[in-house]
Amino acid sequence: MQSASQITSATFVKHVEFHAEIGSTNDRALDLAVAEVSTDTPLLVWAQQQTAGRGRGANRWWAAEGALTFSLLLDTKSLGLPQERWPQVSLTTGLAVCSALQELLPSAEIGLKWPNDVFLHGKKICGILVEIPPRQSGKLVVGIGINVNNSLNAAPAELSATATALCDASHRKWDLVSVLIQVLTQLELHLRQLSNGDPELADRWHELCLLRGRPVQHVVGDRLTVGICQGVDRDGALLLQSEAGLARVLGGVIANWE
Amino acid sequence: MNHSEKTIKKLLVANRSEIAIRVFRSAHELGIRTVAIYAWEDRAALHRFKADEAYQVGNKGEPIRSYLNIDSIIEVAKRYQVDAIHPGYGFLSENPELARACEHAGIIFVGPKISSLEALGDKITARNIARQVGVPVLGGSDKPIINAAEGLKEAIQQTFPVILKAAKGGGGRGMRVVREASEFAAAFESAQRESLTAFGSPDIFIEKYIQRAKHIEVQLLGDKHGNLVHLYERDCSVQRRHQKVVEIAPAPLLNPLTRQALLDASIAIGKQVQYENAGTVEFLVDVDSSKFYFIEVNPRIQVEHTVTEQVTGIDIVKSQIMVAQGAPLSHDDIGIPTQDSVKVNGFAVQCRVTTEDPANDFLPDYGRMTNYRSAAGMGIRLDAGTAFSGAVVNPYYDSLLVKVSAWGRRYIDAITRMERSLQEFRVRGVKTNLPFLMKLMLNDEFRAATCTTRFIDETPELFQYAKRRDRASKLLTFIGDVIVNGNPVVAGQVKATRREPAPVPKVDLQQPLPKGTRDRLKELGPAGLCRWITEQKVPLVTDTTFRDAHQSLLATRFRTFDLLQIADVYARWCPQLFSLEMWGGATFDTSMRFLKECPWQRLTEMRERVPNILFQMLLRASNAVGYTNYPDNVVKAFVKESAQAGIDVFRVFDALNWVPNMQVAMEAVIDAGAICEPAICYTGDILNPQRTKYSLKYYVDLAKDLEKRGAHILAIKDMAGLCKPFAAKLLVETLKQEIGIPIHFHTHDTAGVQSGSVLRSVEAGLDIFDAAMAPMSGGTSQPNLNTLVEALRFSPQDTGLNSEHLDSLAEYWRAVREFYKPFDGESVPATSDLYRHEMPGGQYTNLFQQAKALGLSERWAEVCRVYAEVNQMFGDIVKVTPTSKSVGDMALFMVANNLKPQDVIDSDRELAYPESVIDLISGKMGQPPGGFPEAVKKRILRGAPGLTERPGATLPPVDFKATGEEVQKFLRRAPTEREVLSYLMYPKVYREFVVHQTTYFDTSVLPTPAFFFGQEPGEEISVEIEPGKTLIIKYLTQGDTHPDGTQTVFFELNGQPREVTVTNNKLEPTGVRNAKADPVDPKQVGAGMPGMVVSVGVAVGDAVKKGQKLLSLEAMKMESTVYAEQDGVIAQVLVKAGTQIQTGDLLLTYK
Repeated sequence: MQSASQITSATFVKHVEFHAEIGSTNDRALDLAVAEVSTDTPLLVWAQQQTAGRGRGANRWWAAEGALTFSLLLDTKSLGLPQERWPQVSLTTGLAVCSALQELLPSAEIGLKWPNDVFLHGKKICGILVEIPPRQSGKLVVGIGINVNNSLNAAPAELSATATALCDASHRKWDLVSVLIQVLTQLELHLRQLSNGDPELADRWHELCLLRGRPVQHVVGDRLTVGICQGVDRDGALLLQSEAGLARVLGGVIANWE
Repeated sequence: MNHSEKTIKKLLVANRSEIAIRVFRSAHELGIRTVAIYAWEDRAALHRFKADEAYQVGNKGEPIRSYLNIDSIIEVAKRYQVDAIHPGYGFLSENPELARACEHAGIIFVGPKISSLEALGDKITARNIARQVGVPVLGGSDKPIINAAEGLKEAIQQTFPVILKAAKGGGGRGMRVVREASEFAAAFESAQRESLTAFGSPDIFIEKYIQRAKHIEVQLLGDKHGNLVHLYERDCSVQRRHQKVVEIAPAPLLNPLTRQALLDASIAIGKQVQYENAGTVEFLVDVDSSKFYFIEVNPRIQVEHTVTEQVTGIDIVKSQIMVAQGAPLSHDDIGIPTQDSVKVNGFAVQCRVTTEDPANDFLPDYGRMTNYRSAAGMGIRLDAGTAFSGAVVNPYYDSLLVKVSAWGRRYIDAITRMERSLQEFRVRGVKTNLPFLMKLMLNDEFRAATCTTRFIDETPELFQYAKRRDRASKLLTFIGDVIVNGNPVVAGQVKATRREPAPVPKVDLQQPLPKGTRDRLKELGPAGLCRWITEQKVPLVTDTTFRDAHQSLLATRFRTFDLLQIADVYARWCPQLFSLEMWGGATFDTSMRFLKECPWQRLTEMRERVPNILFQMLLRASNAVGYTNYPDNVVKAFVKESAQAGIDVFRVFDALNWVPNMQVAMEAVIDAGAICEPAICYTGDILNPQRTKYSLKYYVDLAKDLEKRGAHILAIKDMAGLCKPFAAKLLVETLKQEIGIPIHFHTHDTAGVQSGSVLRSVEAGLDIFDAAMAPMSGGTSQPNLNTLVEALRFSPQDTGLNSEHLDSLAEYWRAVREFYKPFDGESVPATSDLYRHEMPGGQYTNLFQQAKALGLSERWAEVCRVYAEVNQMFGDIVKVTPTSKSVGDMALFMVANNLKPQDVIDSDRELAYPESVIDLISGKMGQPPGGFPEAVKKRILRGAPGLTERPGATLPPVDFKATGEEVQKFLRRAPTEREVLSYLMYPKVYREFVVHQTTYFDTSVLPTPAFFFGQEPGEEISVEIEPGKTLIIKYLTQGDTHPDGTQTVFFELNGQPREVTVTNNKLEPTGVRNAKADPVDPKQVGAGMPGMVVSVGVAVGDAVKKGQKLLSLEAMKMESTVYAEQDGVIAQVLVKAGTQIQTGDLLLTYK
């Protein structure tokens, strides 16, 4: 496949695995990590269509044809990412996708909802799921789904109100390979910064943070905290100013934001 | 009056904070029972307690939604027999659904008819209504814009600039000013997006934007009987980002014809919809053309209704409630039979005091308001929400704290009264916009009433103001911190028990200051003064109590506070003293490092009080007041600045008596016009024929060299007290013959016989001697000033100083010394051994402490002997800071390693010598007479070449401008030259000092016991923070520790209760810090990454197999599983689901 060589020559990806249709690219990448068949990382699993794309937990990622859905298998050792910095990969990937979108649509309003949902003009355009393969292999799977040419006008109504696609914002079709290369290029840059400790992570986050200064509901299990988001700290933990004081949040979800 | 029957018995306000309270007040006055609703987050809000009954609506976590929940509100109203609902402003006030739900439930809605709400709530229909009655509407689109392209066409038709507005908007959201076509598309998209998220509607329309506009609005009031009046207008032109900031009634400088036209237009619009109840018609008035344009109608009570009430005397809220019950405007409780009966008296202005930080782009601030003091007095009205000392400002709501309205006969009277009342406010614990509002009240344009809607945006000076210093809170925080945690400077030391102030002798401050030595310096200049000194038949005296005495006895810990208390008395009683030695040496370092005081401030404040006696400092030549060599330009700048700040006499010394190293400092002193007093450091024994290196000739040659280089006075600096009485006599006698400048003798009484040396030198013609006040004399300090003066009485060398006065001063110092008990070490009288080791007084105690720390206290005699041996090994050098430290370090090193001098020189062992020793031998401290022995250099420098020239000669000059910029970064203002020098001398210490000052203010104003030990319960101190501003601080008690490890400390400040919260450092905050796993212990399982525990799969006692899942963690949506790395049985599980963990935290352990 011609695009595979295009990708490996233009980005840090060493090996490309293309599927016309697959259950979930993340699952495939996790399998590869466990089987350890390929040692060439970063390894890209790219699917034209996912039939069982996953979000966090039991969430499904709606992906019609035209979306860019792929997973990267990364070796944290060769990237110089110690385990304590893995959680920041989750945020860094979001930042990288934002940078890529800013390159593609310079005047667009792009933002991030902690920890890594990417929004374009107030609607979600990209979902990211970073997973750690079982057993301590030092590998990470970064799954990214971006709505590119899958116009959300065709999506279920409750989805089109909250989600958008690159083509909806720009009124034109995009070449998936060039979008992919843009994202991978930014990801490589951002991961390299992270391996150097990335002292500016919080600052860059704040420029894009959609929640900062807003009241948000944070849910962990059955515990609900309401607070004003103060951005993130240098570890990427979400800071919430609540009645009880400033809380540092590493897990849980932001259920509601005004 | 058919409608006088009151139908409302119980009124609910579907709102919160100040407007809810405002409505309760009028309702109460009408005899109506009041009901509040509150969200869970508002359970401590004031409006809850101002109502007769209060009920929670909604659930926890819905701070805003609760007030928008129509069903819940109606349910509460029905359950508690409420017969009317007032919506206030904001929230549901303009939502026809609430009015409809009220109608449905048979509850009176205090507001206009549903049809009015619907017609006026939508801006496009409202504009059509205005057009129908011939009121001009600003050019713009009638229909929402379909897309950016269509909008742009419309905008071009209107001509730029235009403004984009959300159809359903308000409060400035969804608004964009577009100045040219190229900006249109982006502005349109972002306005639409904001409208969508804020109001759930994408409808945006375009209006012509007026460059210079005033925002004028007219208050309407109508009843159910077709009567409609206006209550005149308000000027709300002062806006920030389309949000009103200040409102004025009536509009000053408004052309009467325009006013009448505005009032008529408003009535016409109201009549068109048969408006009832209170409402406001808003207009933009083009200042340049006097044309006006309708904007919108607000069918509700407004935030700024207060100013209209103040100038008309009509209670608008009360009228609303009456009208809702069917009363006509002519009802006595309303009192408006005709339009003519509404009269305007004077002017009123309203400011919204908010908890927003104007210095930080009006970012809302939250937290506990530790103190709230409001204004009062004639013409002031306050409408406050949750504003009281101890209230918590929480982040969910509007940041409005209190609305201040000021009434005055003229516009300017209202403004000055407002400014006065804003000054009266004290809000602590949260930031407020008060500084901004005060600045606004003083702005010329605002006072001239010519502001347009763009005034704030175009007036950047409104944002430049002196920060409120909040000095009292900062000082209380410091005292509280010391009470709870102690002052680290005295940690582990004995506590001083004296708390009462030291007795300051009474002097008559009315009397003119007697002339002193400094007046003589001003008159004669340095050379002339020195001639005068040599002409004196009696010796002059320098008092070292302000510097060397406490440096020698109390580790330089005297605080400026104690020095200043007695300074006035010195100025009046001791003008005959040659000088006060009061600066330099270690004072510069310790004052910042330990006492958190500015050394420059000590100097200038002392100078103010003692303008008539010479001030003297000790300058370490090229080391200035630091411990390393500085580039020449730093030394010069330091000397120049010190002279300007008040130093008259610079005693300059070099630790190795190396004259080239003193040259730069001496020249700088002479250039500064000050008295240059270079010192020869005395060591050895000129009477001992065996000690040939430091012979009489050596000192004479040195003295002559210094005289030749411009010395005004020669100092003999006998830092170890080695200059025995007969040696002193011989030395002074000889020097008096060989040089022509005055001689100043400085010694330490370590041996106990140095008064004898002083007396012998005086006999030999000494000009000036150093001594310390009796309670601060003896031992490692200077000889006793009081007894020396008396000893010379009735001799030809009688100093003429008044012993009675000196003894009163001594009594003061005796008491002061008691404050410093923690630093008052035991004094060990020296034995004859002193003359063998030649250790300077200050080092003697220090080195003993160092030896003790190394477990060598039992071998102290040996340390002293080796010290002498090291001195000889190094070639017999002068030992004073910093060379004495090198010799001491080497002595300890050798004793600890059981080395003999021969071992150092001959052995092949590679030894790691102390840093200070390498510095000394490599020439970084300068060159001793004859240089260092080659064998020592070879061993210690391992063949590296040492310096042979002056270290300062090769140091690149410091860039003061760049350093200043560096300081500015953490000081957050441009530093003074003195501050830059402090930073150059001690960068780290100075930074910490700046942090202390910004956190706690200037703590040097506190009495010493309070500074070191805090206050005793019930104790009251008075603290002068600036002339005429005194804080009376009484400490009451401290509260229990909170779960987060903080503690509240209670005070009375100027008679008012005040509390501060400090972190108790002695306590580990509970449940915050987890234990760490030992990475090498296989029985401990630690966390590899930070996160939150999602689930724990094992329990205590479970047997696990290698590879089994133990628990799972989550961080930023990323789950990771911790697997067992070995078989075993679980002993402990330290975390549970929900626990937040850091990398390395201990999760569980194996048996």
